[in-house]
Amino acid sequence: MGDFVVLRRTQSEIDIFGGDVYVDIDGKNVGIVGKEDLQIQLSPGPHTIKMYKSHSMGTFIGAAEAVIEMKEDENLYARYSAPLIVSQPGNIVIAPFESKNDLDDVINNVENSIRREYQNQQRLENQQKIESEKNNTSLMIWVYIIPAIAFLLYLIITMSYLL
Amino acid sequence: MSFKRMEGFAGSIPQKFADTKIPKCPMCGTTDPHWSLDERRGKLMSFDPEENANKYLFKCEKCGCILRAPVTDVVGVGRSALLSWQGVAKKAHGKQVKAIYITVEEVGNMQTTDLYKEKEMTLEELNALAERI
Repeated sequence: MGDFVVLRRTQSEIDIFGGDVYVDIDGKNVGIVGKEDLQIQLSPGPHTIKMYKSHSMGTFIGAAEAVIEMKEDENLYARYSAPLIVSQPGNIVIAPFESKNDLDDVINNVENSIRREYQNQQRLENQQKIESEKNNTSLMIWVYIIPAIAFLLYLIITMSYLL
Repeated sequence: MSFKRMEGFAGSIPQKFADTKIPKCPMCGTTDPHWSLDERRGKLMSFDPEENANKYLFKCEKCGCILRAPVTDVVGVGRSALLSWQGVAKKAHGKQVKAIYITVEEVGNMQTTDLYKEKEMTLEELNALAERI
């Protein structure tokens, strides 16, 4: 019997994509992927892995299917990626692993890359926002306040000539 | 909001803009988004060009996503710093004056995430996004 591990979802994945990810093996549901890895003992031979995600109104999206050939004493893991669009399929990455540390590395890499991308996006947006606010103030000074001061000065000068 | 197609003369400029410049919905990828239109008035008492600009809203018939574009960009005057306040503001904010900026107001029911919500991009970037679907 070999170990088949369905990798847990990272917190970022849960936050961004929401829903639950289901795992079917050989046509039978074997569980929901949460914050813990799903460990399954598989007999040697071919197995069909299907994963999909719950969506709104009791529907499922992002189905992805893969056929694996399980060998005696082989350890495999599967990682599911949900799609960005409802009509697109999901994706399953299947690879061998040696120890639990390998799985932790994969999960850390996924979490870090999502976080990094998200933080970069947030940083850019914040930068733009701050820049925009700064520019708005200077724009208002140039468009309203400077002309108003110039007009007042003009009035004062012309009035002083009249007096 | 009351979205409707502007088939007659009134509203023909934004309708033609949406139908010809955004031929593919960037949120669901349909090539027949059959955009319907609505308009939102800007805040009169605001000096912020983002807030005081009137906006056109375009809704995709297939996925219900809503795109938002300033009226000045759609009719053309916002693409010049000489002709409109929004043009000046774009220049001051480091944006491309000649570019048309569109914001995704609602992502619609085909997107699985809210990653694009309130994201502003140029028309070219929006169409490139649509092409990737």
